[in-house]
Amino acid sequence: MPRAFFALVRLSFLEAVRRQVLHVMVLLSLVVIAVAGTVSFFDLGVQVKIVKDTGMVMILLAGSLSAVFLLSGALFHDVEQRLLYPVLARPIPRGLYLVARYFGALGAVYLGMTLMSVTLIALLWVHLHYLSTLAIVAVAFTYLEVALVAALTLLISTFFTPAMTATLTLFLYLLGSLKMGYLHHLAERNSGFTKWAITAVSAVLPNIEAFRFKDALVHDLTVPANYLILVAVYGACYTAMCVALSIWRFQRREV
Amino acid sequence: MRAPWAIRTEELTKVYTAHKQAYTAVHGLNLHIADGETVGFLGANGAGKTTTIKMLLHFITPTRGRAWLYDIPCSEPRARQAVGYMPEQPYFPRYLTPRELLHAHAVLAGVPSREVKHRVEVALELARAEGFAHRPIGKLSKGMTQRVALAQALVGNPQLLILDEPASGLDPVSRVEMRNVLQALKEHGKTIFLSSHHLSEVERICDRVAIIHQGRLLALGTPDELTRQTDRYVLVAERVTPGVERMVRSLCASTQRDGTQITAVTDGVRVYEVLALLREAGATLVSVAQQRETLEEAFLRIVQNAPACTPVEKAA
Repeated sequence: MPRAFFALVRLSFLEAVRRQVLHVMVLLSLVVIAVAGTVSFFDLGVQVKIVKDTGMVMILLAGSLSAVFLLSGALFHDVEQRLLYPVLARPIPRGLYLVARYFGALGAVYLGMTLMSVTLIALLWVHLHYLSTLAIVAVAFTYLEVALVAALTLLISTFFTPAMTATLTLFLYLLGSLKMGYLHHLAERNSGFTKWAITAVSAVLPNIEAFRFKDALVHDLTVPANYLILVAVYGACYTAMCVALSIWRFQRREV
Repeated sequence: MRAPWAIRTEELTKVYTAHKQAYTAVHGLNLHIADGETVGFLGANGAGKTTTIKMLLHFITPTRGRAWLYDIPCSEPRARQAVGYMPEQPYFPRYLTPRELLHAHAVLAGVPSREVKHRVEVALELARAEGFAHRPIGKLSKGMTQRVALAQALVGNPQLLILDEPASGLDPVSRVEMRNVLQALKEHGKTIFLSSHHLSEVERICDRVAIIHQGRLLALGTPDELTRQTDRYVLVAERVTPGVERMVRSLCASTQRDGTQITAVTDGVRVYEVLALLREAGATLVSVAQQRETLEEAFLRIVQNAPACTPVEKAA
């Protein structure tokens, strides 16, 4: 079974790395990071902050959008083009196919993000003589955030068409990026059903904002290790839950 | 020990619902296909052939009834361990070469690592796809892609082959080649479940034929059991003069001269008149034979005589 899984991951990865949307996202981000790191209008301290800020935003944006666009149409495309049939006619569970599809696409996104991250860290280190462990931690949590966004996209794509999936995922992504504190504050200001509804929504929504360490990195703040572990566990659990629900849904779907 | 039935279905039924209307695509299908048998699955477009195959491979769930592959319920992935499937319109990743695709499918089929390379080459050779195994699938013609699809079905060395329109879109030469491959597989003892529109091919290859119409199984039997004797007689005679040939032609549905021989087709009433004429003219009678229906004629007869589905049945 592991051999079948890796064979499927490889197929999914090979398909994803050929998608133009990924190429465009990565190229655009690399150009923006390179420009921010090499064109200097400010003194070195401000320049470092600008590069960190721009670099983190670009890695996150390019990674998240690539994940949404690659995975929102993956299953739909496989079913519509009938690419799925020869694979599902093999003695493999559907869940294995779905998980492999997820990891293959995520691998392609991670490849692009790694190019961007290496460029960012190299620029900070070589050109601006700045290196911090927090930069690596912040980048690592961006990877985790993208894995969660990809899993959310996969889950929604088992119910809806690609356009609907992309729209819904981006909507939930924006909602999840709101400060959770704001939602809690909103819940406290209301009562009855509204309060219950806001609390329920904030509980179900992915707390995307928790993965953002850009501000801490830009302002060289310290992040407690316990908090990092908590966020990592939360991200892994939320991602696993999305993938598990996707499998549950896909196993019942007629293709 | 292998189970006696490669495919077994009991009251297999699929009802689709679209726009609040139910439509029964397959209605109470009972099929028993023995291991080693070659069975043709015939039906017009929309008769329920592909829906049946989809249920056998668990792409879709039956509304009622059950199905087994080698006594394992179709819903279990291990039921597909012995299956090689060739879809009606095969699509594969366009950037892969046939060899890469087959390698991946060999792994998915559970072929041990050390045997993968060998199995890929054997499948390519069997499907006669070695010549273009290094070219991207996106650059192959339809016929070539069909052969890749067949190789893909064969790569796991399956005991049961489920082939959905394998000759669809093939030119006559490729179709003959495909038939030869299937014949060879049959001789190797493989079970072949062949859904096809090419009735002459089915007639030549298959041990039994199942005819499905509007989701119902109308007939299942050997081609001899399904076809009937017709009222047509074929006479072959020699030393027939042009004058006698003209008279024979007036009594027959068709005549054909091949050198010194003529072949005439007539009905049961006139055959005696033609025989008497030939005897009087001193012609040599080579043979007289009553013609059997072709499978195509039997298929049309069976389908046309089938009771029409009532709206109640359609709504199920």
